Amino acid sequence: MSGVTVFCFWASYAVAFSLEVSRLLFQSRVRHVVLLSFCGAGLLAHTIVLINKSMDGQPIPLSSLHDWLLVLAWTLSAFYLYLTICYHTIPLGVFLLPIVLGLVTWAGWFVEPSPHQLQQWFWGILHGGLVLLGSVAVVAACLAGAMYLVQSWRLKSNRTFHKNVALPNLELLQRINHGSLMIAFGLLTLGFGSGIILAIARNPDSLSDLIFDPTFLAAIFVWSIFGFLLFLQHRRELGGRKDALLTIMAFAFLMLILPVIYQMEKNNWHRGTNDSRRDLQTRFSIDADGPMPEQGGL
Amino acid sequence: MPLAVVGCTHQTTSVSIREQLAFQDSCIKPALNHFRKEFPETETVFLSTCNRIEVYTAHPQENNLPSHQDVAHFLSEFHDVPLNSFNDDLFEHKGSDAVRHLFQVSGSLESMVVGEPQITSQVKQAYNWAQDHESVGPLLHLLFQRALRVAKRVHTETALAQRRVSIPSVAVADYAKQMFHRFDDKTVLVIGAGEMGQETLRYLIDEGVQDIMVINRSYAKAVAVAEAFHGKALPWSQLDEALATADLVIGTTGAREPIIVSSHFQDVMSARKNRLVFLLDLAVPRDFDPQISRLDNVYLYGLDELQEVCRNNSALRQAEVEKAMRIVRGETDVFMQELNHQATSPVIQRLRQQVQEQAQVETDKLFRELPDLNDHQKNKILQFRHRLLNKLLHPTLSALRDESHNGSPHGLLEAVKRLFHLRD
Repeated sequence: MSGVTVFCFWASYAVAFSLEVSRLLFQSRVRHVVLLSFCGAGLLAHTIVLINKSMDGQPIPLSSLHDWLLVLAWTLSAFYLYLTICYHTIPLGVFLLPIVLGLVTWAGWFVEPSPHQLQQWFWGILHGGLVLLGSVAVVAACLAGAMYLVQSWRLKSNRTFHKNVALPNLELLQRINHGSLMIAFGLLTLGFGSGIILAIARNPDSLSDLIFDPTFLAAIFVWSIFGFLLFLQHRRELGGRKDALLTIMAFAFLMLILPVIYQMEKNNWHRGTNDSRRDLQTRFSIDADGPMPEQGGL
Repeated sequence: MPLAVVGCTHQTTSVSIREQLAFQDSCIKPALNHFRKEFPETETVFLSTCNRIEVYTAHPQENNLPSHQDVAHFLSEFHDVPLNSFNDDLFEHKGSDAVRHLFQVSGSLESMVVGEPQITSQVKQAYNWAQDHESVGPLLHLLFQRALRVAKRVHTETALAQRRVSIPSVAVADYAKQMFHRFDDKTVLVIGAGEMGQETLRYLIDEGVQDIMVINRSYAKAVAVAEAFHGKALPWSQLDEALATADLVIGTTGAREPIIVSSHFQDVMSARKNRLVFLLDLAVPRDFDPQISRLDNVYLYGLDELQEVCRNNSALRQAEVEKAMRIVRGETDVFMQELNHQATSPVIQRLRQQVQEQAQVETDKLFRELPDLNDHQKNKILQFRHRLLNKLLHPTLSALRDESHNGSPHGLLEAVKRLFHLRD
């Protein structure tokens, strides 16, 4: 069990992804079983790694960006496996597995694992969990948006898929996109609020410092983007394709901003020149006792 | 083989004759009663659709099965249609041909639009009616249940039903259903009164469409079409408002130039706040300017695109027909083997019974002659008797089973009856 590494499930997901891509090119009777086997094996290895982490002292591994990314990737791959079993004609993996692979790659090779004990256990877990679920909803909105664009392009250009490959209809994708975005916004708002409570609970004097914290500002910025997107959708200003495109852009922006903030926080920590920043880090950052996603602004 | 079908189809008989020979729902019961009076002990199912009228019959004794002429006279008499107006159009299949025919019909291989799914439910309905009126017995029970199983296999193991070949069905199944999740909350606008537009409307109603608007330069025509589909007729002046409301628009006018151009539709899209719209242009020449398809959230399809899909589907469907026919052939062979094997059961039963009785008589005699035998020894003798009888009967029963694979083993059955002195 201890020999199971991040590479084990990364490789399984990569094979599952290549099998998904091959669905668009040719038909095969055994592929679906092989695909499910690889994804199932990957999910099993992924679960073992997370269990090992929780046995190291974290009942729910959400205390660092590394752990949080792995839990997010695990949730998405479980979601993928379930949907692929239920709706085997939808090539969901073509859209979802790159995100899972990206998250695992980021967690496994670009973020240092740094397990920490949570001091404010309830608020920490609540914050990390809400942001995690919000992120899952953001990914669902993004997936629906991506599938909408492909389906729209296919219908506009009058192209057909293979017999056993199909995408959901545009109306359903639009509903999933809109619904997921609403859920995501709600969860992220709650996650954001619980993050503020968490920071205050750790140090009641930190409120004034908080508003100058780049992580906090970035979180507000990202939250505002999703709020604005939801507003536009609600007003029906754009229509299907533009809605889908904007959701994908918002997701891409989120994915771009997270590593930047992480790097910024990490550099600040290592430099350790600014005491006030260091104080703030202690209260509201990676190596403190709060969950990591707070640093990404969400 | 005591099974037969006599009937006529769209391939052999004109629609005017089929209309006269069809059994409406209300006359199925009197028809079955009438038929049973004329041919008692004959199992009967009437399959009556707009494309075929078929009478399936079965009787334990082949000689008593109603003939082609019997069925023709019945149809003529019951419907009061002159016999000579349709007699030459009637076909007749017996035995395995009748079985194969029903399997092909239920699998939608004999339909006008091959692969259309309605025929399976029509076969089921015909069987249910016959069941309700107790006109089916063991043979037709077995046959129709198997036919429905074959239809299910054809449906699940081939893509026959997925490959649509008519323009309205392609427009709805391959395009409209790719855009909309449900249709009961959608509004359809039909511009013009073309036949293909109305056919498309029927498919959309099957999908659940309820809100229908019809618009035409001739308001009277719009009213006529709207009434036929329980829709709402609109005057031509309300075209823009109707376009702004509708989710699906079917263009089917006889106009010589496009009635809706791109700049016009841009305004419509603004009025509908860029809501998704499906435009189906079934008119020649086109009703919609092709440039409209470049607009966002507008999906426009014309006859050329749909015809191309129909052609491709026809070619793909041909491969599926071959696959479906293999299923039908295989199931027919299995069914016939089972049926033939069933025909041997009464003889086998009598043979076993007679041999057992004789053996019992001899065993009782033996036990009386040897009164000192204990229970263990008696059991040994009974076991020996059982094994011996099975070994002696085995070659005969195997021969009957093997023979039933190749058809009804009448000759062999007669030989067995004579050899073992089996009484009827």
